[in-house]
Amino acid sequence: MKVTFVHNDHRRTVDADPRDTLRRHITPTGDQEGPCTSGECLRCCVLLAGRVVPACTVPMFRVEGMTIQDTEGLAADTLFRDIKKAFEKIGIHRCTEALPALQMLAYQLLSEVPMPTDKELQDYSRHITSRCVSRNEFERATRLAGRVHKRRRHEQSR
Amino acid sequence: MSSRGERGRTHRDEPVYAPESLSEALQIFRRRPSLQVWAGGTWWSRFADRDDTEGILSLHAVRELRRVVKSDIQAEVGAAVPVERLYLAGRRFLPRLMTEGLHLVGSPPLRNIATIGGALCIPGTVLPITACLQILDTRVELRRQGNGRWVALSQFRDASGAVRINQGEIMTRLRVPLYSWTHRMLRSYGMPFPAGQESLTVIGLASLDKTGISEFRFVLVIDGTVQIRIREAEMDLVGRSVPLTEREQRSILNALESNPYYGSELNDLGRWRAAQGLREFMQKLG
Amino acid sequence: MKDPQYGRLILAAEAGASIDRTSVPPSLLPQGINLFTGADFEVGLTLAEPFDNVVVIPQVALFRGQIIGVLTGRHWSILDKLIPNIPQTVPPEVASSVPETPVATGEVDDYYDTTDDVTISETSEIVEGLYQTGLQLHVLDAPLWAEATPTGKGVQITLPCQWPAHVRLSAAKATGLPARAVRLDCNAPSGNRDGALTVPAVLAALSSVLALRLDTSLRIAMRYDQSFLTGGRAPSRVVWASRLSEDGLLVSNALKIHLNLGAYPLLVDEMLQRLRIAATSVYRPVPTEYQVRLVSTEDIPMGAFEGVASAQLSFAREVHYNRLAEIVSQDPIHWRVSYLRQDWPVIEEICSTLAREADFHRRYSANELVKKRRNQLSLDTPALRGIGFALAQQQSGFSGDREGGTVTVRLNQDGTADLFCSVPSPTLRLHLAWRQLVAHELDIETEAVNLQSHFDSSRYDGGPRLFSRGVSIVSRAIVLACQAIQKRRFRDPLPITVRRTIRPGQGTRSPVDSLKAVGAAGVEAVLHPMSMEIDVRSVTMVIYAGRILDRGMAEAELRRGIYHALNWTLRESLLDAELISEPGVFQTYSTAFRGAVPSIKIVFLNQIRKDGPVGIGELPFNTIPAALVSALSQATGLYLDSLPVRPAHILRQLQEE
Repeated sequence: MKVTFVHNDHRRTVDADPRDTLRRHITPTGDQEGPCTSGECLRCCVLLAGRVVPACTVPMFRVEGMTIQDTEGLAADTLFRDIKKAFEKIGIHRCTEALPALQMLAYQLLSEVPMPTDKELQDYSRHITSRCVSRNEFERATRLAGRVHKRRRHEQSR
Repeated sequence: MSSRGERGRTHRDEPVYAPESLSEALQIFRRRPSLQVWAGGTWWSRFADRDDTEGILSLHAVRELRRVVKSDIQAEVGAAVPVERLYLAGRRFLPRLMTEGLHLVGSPPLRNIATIGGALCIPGTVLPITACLQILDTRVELRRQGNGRWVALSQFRDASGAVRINQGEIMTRLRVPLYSWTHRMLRSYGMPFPAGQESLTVIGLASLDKTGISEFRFVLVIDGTVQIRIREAEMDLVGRSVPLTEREQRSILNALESNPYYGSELNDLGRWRAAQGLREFMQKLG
Repeated sequence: MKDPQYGRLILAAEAGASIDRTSVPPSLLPQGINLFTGADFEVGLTLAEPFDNVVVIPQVALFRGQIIGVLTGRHWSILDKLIPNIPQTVPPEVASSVPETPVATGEVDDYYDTTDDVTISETSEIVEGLYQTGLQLHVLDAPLWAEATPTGKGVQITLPCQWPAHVRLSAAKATGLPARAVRLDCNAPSGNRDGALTVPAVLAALSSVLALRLDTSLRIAMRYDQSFLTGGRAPSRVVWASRLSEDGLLVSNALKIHLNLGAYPLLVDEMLQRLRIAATSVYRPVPTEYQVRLVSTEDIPMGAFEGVASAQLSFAREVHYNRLAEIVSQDPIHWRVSYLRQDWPVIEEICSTLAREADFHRRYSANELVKKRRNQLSLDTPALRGIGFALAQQQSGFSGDREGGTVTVRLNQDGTADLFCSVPSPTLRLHLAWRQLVAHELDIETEAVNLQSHFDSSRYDGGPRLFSRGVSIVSRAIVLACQAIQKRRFRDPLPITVRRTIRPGQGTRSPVDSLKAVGAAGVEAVLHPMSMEIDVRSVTMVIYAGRILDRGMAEAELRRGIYHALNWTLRESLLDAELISEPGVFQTYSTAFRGAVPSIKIVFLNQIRKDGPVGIGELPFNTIPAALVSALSQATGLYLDSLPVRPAHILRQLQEE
C-alpha cells in the first residue's frame, strides 16, 4: 500500500507492507536504532500526532496522513530545546546514540508533568537501558529542563 | 520490490480497514470475520501469524472506543483508549490498584500506543493490569453486529488462558466499579510479558469498615499465565475483625499452599514471595 | 556504478551450524538478493595479526552466533524478513557438555622476601574459597556497521572502529589488495565500543570483499540483537586458598584460576600478565602459588573483552580478603591496612578517606552486632543491612611492549593548534579532553585546537584504543609534544610541528605506578526478607587517578561504570542460548539497573607530583561486585561468593541454615 506522511516537514510517500513498522521506513541505512523491536529500548521514539511512541511498534497503516517528528524535527520546539540544553549542562549529551531515546523520554514526561516529582522521575528513569547514561544523570537533567521551561513560559506569559 | 512469505502471498495487497465508527467496524467484521483485529497492535506486530487472515481491522480511529466516562459508581473506558492516556485521564478517580497496574504495561512511550483492550486480550498472557482489573470486578462488553453482552473479566479467559470471545465479537468497553477500597498491594517480580518467563504478580485488595473486614481479595499470577485465587478463604475472612489472629492468618496461608498450582508452578522463591506477600497484606490490615 | 546494496548477517543458530546453498528455497533468493557463505571466501581466511586466529566467515560455525552468511540486496528491511527463513544445517547430536581446549596454562611460584618474621606451623589455618563469576554479554551502545565502496584501484571503507590500522590490514588480507589500496575513513564511535574489538575488522573484511565482487557500494550493518553475541566478559572460577598463622596473619596464597575464553582466545599473553598483577594488586607481595588455566570452548569470544579478566580476579581477591578479615573478627579496612603496599601511601589514604566518607567503621560494627543477635528470619524481621568494602587498581596501557601512542601537535601562525593522533576515533568526551589538554599546555583557547580526522594509520602502533590508552598514553604524548613546542615557541618560526611517541613499561615486570589508578568502594545494601529483593542503598568510591582531565567527565564515567557493575552483580547471567532468540530478550537481559537509585558519592584524591591522567573506567568493575557481595554476606550472615547474586540462591542458603 502507498502511505503518505510528513516526516520532519518533508512529505513522503512510501510503498509499504501495512504491517511494516514505521521504523523500517524512516531509518535510512538499516542500522537499528535500538536493541529491541518491542518498544522497550526507546531508541526509535518519534513524535506521532503529538505523542511520543516507539516507531518499531507503529504499523504503517496507522501513519497515513500523519505528522512524524524525530529529534531532528523537534529542534525548533521550545520544550525540546530546553531539554537539549539541560542535557548538555548535566553532560549526558555525549552519548549520541542513546540521546534520542533519553530526550524523547524526557519530552514525554515534561509534556505530561511539567514539574515531575522524584517518584515520577524514577518511574521514567527505570526504563533507561543505555549503558552510557545513568538514571541519576537523566533525572537531574530532566528536572533541570522542567525548571528552565517553566521559567521560560512564565516569562513569556508576562 | 514486494515481500513474499513462504506461501507466496503478497502482503502489500493485504486490505486494512480503519473505520471511524463502531457500527461500521462491526459491519465490516461481520462480513469478514477472519480479519485480525488490531487496537494498538503492539502484540500483533511482533507475534501474530498472518497467514490465515484476510487482512486487518484497526480500531484505532473508532470514536466510541476512545472515550472514558465517569459516573459516581463506575468508570466506563473504551477498549481502544491508549494506556498512558487512560492513566493520565483517570489517575485522580480510577482505583489506585488500577493505575499502578497501568504503570506496569511497559515503557511510557509504549503506553502511548498500547491500548487497555489490547492489553486484556493478549493471547495466553495475563498482565498485571489484567489481574488488577479482574480483582476490581471489572466487566467487559463484547459486541457484534446486532448483539452485545457484558461478561466479568474474570470469566473472559478459559483454563488454558485463551480469551472467550465469539466469532465476530469485539471488546468495546470496560466497566470498572469505583468502589472505595481501603487497602491494596501490587508487587510484580520478573517480566510477565512475553509470557513464559519467570515472573510473579502478587495482588491484594481489601476493605475495612467499623465491624472489620468487609472485602478481602488476593490473587497470584505466575509466569504471566497461571492465576491463583483462594475465594473460599477470602469469604471466610469477611466479617472478621482486625488484626487477624495468627491462627486466622495460618488458615489463609494453608488455603493458598493447598492450591495445586502453588506447589507445581512456583519455585521456592516464588512460594516464599507469595506467602510473605499474603502475610504482609494481612498484617497491613491492622 | 550500480545501485548501492545493503548486507545483513546470518548468525549460526548453534555451534557446528552451516548453510547449504542447495537447500535454500529459490523463493528466498529472488532477483537482486544474493547469499554469500563461507564457501564463497578463501578457506580459513582470518584477520590480520594479532587477531589472526579469528576466522572472518567459516563454513561451519565454531560457536553459536558466529557469522556464517551474508545476505545482500537493495533494501535492508527485505533482508531482515528473508533471513529467518534461510535454513541452517545443524549437527545431529549436541554434546552433553561443552568440551574445553586448553589455551594457556601458567604455574608460577612467587616467593618474596618479607620483612615480617612469620613462623608457619602445622597448626596454621588454611582458608579456601571458590569464587565464580558469570558471563556478562555485550550490549553495545551503537550499531556496528561497515560500508565499502570499490574505487577502481582498491576499496574505500567507512566504519566506526577503534583500531583503523588493524581494520585496514584485515581488509587488505581479505581482498588480496595491498594495504595502500585500502582507504579507511573511521567515524568517531560513541558509547562503549571497547567490547567490539575484532568485529569491526570482520565487517570491514566482509564488506570490502563483497563490494568488490558486486562491483558496488555495500553497507553491512549488524543488528543489536546480533551484537549480544559479539563477545562478553569471561566466566571465571577462582579457588583462592590462604594460609594464616596462629595469630591470624596472612602467610601465603595459592590460586587456581580457570577462565573460559570462548571460541577465539584473544590477547592471551596480556591476560596472563594482568591476572598475575591482579593477584597481588595493591597489596604487598606474599608468597603465592599461582595456577592459571585458560580454555577455549564453543562459546562466543570472551576474555579479552571487558577488562581482560582483571575484574573477575579482583572479585575473588576482595571477597576472599573480606572473609579473612571476618575470620579474625576485624573490620575489613583495618585488616587490609597492614597488608597494603607501603611504598605507595596513596593507597592507605584512599582507605581512610573511604572509611570517613562512607562512615564505614561505625556502620560495619553496627551491622555486625545486629547480625550476631539475629536468630531467625520472621515476618517482623526488618530489612537486613550490610556494608562491604573492596579495593583495587586499574592499569592503563598494555603490560608488555605492544604499546605505542604517537601524537603530532602543530602550533600554527594564527595561534591555532592542530592535533594528529595515532590512537584514533576518540569518543567525544576524550576528543574534548585532548583539546583541553593542548589548550592548557599551549595557553590558548580550547576552541583554537583542532583534532584532525586523518589519523596516523601508517604506523602499526596506532591502536587499539584499549586499556584507556587514549586517556593515559596519548595524554602523556600530548603533554610531551606541547612542552617541546613551548620550548621552541619563541625562538623558532611558526608553524612548529612536534611528534612524540611514548612507550612505557617496555619489558618491565609490572607497569609503573604512574600508569595505575587505584580505587576503593564502599557499598551499602539491604535485603528485604519479605521478597528477597536486594536494594543497594549507597555506593561510595574514592579514587586516585593522577591528573584528572575533566572532573565532570570522570565522575560521569564512574557513575556509568557503577550502574554496569551493579548490573553484572545482580542481573546478568550465564549465557542461555534459548533466551537470546526469544522475543522479550531485551527486557530480560537489560542493562538497566532497575532497583531504586542508590546514592552515589565519588571522591577524587588530589594529583601527586606529576602523575599524569590514567583510565578509571574499570575500577567500578574491579571493586563494586566484591563490595556488594560482601555487604550482602554481612546482611544475611551467609557466605556469598559468586556472581550474579540471586534472590533464589540467597533464599535457598537461608533455608538450609
